[in-house]
Amino acid sequence: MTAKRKSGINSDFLRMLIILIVLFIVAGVTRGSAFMSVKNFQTMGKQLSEYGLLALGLSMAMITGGIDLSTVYIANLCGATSALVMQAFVSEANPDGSLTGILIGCAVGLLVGLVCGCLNGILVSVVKVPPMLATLGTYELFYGITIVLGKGKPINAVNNFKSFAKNDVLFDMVPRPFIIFVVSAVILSIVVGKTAFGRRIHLVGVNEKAAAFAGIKNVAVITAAYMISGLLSAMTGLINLSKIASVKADFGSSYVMMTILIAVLGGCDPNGGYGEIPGVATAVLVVQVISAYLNSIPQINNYYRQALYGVLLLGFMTYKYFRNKAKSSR
Amino acid sequence: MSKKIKRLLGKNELYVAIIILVLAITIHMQSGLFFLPNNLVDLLRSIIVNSIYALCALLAFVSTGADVSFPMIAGMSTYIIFKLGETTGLPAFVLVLIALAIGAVCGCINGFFIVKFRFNSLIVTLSTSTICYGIAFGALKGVRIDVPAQFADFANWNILKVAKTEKALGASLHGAFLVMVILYLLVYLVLNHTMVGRAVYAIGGDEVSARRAGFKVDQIRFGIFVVNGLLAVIGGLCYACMCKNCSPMEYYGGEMIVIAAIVLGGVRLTGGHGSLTGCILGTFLLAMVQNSLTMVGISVYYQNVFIGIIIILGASVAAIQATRSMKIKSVVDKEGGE
Amino acid sequence: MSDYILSCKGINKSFGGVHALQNVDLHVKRGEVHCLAGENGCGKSTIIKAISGFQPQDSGTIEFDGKVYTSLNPALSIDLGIQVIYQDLSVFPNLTVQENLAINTVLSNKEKIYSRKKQREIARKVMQTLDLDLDLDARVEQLPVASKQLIAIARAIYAKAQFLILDEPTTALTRKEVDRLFEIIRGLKEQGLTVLFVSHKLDEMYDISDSITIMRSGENVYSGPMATLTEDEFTHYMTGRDFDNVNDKHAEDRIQKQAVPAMELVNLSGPGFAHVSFKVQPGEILGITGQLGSGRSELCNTLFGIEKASSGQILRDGKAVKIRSVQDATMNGIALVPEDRLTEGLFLPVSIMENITVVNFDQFKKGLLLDRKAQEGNSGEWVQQIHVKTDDHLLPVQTLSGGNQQKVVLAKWLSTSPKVLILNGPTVGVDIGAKYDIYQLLRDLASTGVAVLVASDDLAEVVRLCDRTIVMRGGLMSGEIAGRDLTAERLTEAIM
Repeated sequence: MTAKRKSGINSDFLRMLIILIVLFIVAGVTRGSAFMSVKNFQTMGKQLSEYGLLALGLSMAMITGGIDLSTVYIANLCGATSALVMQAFVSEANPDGSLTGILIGCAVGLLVGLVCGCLNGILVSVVKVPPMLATLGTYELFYGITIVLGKGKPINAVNNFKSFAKNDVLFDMVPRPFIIFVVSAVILSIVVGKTAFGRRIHLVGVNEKAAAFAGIKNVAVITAAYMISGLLSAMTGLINLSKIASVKADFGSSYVMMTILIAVLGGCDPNGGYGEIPGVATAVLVVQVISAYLNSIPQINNYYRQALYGVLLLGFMTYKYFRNKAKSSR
Repeated sequence: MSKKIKRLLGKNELYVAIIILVLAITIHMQSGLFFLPNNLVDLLRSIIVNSIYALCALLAFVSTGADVSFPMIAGMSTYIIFKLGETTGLPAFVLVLIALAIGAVCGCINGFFIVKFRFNSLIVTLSTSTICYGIAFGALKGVRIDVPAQFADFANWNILKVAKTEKALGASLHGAFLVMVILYLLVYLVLNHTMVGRAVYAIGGDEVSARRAGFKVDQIRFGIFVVNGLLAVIGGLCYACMCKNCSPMEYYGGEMIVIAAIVLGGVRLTGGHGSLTGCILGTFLLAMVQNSLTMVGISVYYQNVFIGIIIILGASVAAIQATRSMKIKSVVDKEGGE
Repeated sequence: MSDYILSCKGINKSFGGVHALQNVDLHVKRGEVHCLAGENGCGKSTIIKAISGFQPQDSGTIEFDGKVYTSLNPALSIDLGIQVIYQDLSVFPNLTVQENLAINTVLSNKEKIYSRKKQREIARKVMQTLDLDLDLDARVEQLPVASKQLIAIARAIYAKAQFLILDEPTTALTRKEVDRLFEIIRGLKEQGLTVLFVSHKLDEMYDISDSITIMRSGENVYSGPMATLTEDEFTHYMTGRDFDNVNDKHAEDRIQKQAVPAMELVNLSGPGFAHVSFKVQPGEILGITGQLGSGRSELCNTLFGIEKASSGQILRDGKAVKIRSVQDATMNGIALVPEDRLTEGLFLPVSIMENITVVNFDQFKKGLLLDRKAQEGNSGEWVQQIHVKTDDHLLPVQTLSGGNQQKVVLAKWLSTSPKVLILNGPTVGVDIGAKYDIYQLLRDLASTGVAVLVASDDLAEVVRLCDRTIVMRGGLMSGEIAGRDLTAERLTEAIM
């Protein structure tokens, strides 16, 4: 891979952008107004919030040369703890939950996300457990804690929190979760692409040993990356809590595959060291459009989508393989 | 003699065995229920399928890397032949052959992408897994389906029965246990007494050296994933016959606990290390945790928490050991000549 | 039966337009130890790959034991008795000694079944070839490098090797182990084996070789008896240049004798070394020499914070400091050019620019963001200053030659304006031209008042470059040699 690049405006991003535009054209032409409607865009915007941030978080872990299989379960755990905290503030005076309760609940949820991410980071960078195994263990742990919290049943959101995700912003049109996604993506793009910290994340992913010899604090960098992933998962958990009004411990388990697909489509290399956020964010949009489009074809049920993601991932990696081969033999 | 004992002490498997024993005794002291024949038979029954899966995981991790596709390959193939069995009435052995063929095809897909393009095996097998998932649920609707008549005999075959007592319900050991034992014997023979089997370890130890020594690394690796497909199918069939129905949903996510089990048993994710004994011990330990928590009064809700903690602890210990042995090695290297 | 067991005539090999081998002849006499020498990239590995059959040549013939071949393949080479012992030894770390010893034999017998008993027999016989006594059930990963090498050689002998190619066999061996290896090679010679010995260490060549072939840029530039080759001729053929042997030290001018020592170690102990005490003045170039196992690398890493000292003191400019991390070291003006350039010193696929500026990211901040323009400007300056041969510093650093790569590592640390620069093996794998450039750079650096510590096992380098040297052996300081006493002979004595 060539080192020549301008932060963020790289070939992965462009590739995803072009594919996105092509998809829009195809969808627009074949589905017409059913697809190109505000309502549809709003639905898509809300839907991608269920996994978009998770994909961004996963890509952070991937850039450091690791992987994070626990994102979905961190999200559920955070949603669960927030919901319980908010419920604790329900009283006769505030049967639908108080503002304080909601704010504290959100804060606690985000904090839990950071703590979970920190655990992942420390296991990977200090104890040196292989990331796949570490996040496998933590995913069971977080999953288990969520089950315990809910005593095996879903946990409900307080009524006042339910409306958060549904209200629309900006001319009453753009769903809030989508705004959160876009803002997060923009901030993360700058952090990962244009700051010293961002470059350090990449360098640790390229060669951890050389990074240590160059004075980079590997433990801090890796842990920070996983903590950011944890935070993004926490945000997802809160958004889900609001949207779906309840938290199930195993919600979203199929998103693990999807987020890996998105990260790789967006330019991340499973071996680490490569990948930028704009590409991943656009890949989220691409996958969402594909998903929504397939949804509109009644013959293809939801489960086929999973299979398609698998095929897409293999196909995309094969394409990249041949492209790299062609490049290097020039 | 002392060298042999020293070597034994260095083995991971010994410590897992000790932990199992200690846990078993503790649980029995608390509840008086552990060493009852019913419980033991139950435990043995519960490890059958996961032990077979553990073989897949072992072969993959020792030689190459992760394989997470075996549960869904198992689920999809079993589901397909159950449906076929219902609708066509083909004899059992034909159905089994078809299932094995499907498993082999999946294995070929895994092997192809992993060997030809050298893609990360976790990602390739994850992709294959979701493709199987999509086919099982998408194309075939994934609805639970009962065991077709062709397999009824196998499904009802128990080799051991323990009667109901005051303290515990009756338990039976399904014939699939024998299948598992035979598979383990076969794999043991191949791994320890054929060159192909040693190749599995050699490739995982140092691929370059393996090539230089003359091993046909690519062919062997491809073969490993095909074998995994076959093993997965056998495991899936046993599971469905034991449950007397096939519900693809139950297969979903089954790889996690198997991987946890083999890591506990001493398989290193970096490759080259791992034993059959370790697989069984690890699987047994986790089965104990799942099965016996309730005996000690811990609510079943805590199961995943415990499993998660065990995985984290086990992996941490293995990681710390690995770091320490690397440090010792470099000191040995330096001290070597002086 | 001809005198020559191996005769390569007119060997050519190209990779996509680049000539790796041009019309190379290589003649090795039966039963001799023949040295193959040359800088990195001269074509040594390519010709070995052709002889062993792993990468057949494009044109030219190989005559082995009287028969002529247009190309060989691995199986055929092994059948002929050609065996290569690579630097990485081709052992299986996770398998036992017994398995490692026997595996090649079993494979070549095309056996499908593996019988432990049979293997043990084979393993015992293999060990006998070199009179080895190893624990057959031990895992190879637990053995020192020398033992692994002996396993590899024994294996090859047992496989009826007639022609043994040893690729840089002494890189990871201590002096004792090297002596043992040479004894074994002499023993093999008596048995009638021929050995092709790839090396770049002149003193070893004189010790063991009968003849030598020197390659440069894909061509055979010299072939002849070892004994009649002088050191100057050797350098001439290796580099194509003649170098002034005058040691340019001007030591008196730049060493600040009156100043507080830039760095002082007081009874410092750490992993692999103990009770080391010395001082180094600003402007001084101090050598730290000793064979593998002497503790010199561990000492360097401890001074830089990669390892932690267990007792003793480190003083910077007279003040005691605690170096527990790399950050501690850099904050105290200490920099380290590490031993392994490729895995420790550089991010290979990353741009030259980023490799140079990586330690100083914080300096290029515009607000919260990285100022790429400033970064590139800074890097460009350094590329010029240190004469890194490249057209574009945005290219990945792996596109550079070894010498230029080392210059990048140097630039990286020079850009932090260190007061103490430690270099561990600074010119390993560096072509002679770049070597001398680096020496000059270090001298210039010293004259600005920086204290330079050079850890090296290349005695000629230490003599040429250093004002004074401390000698380490077995983790302890065994002596100090300075001034006119600093000669190769004195050093060799002191190291043993």
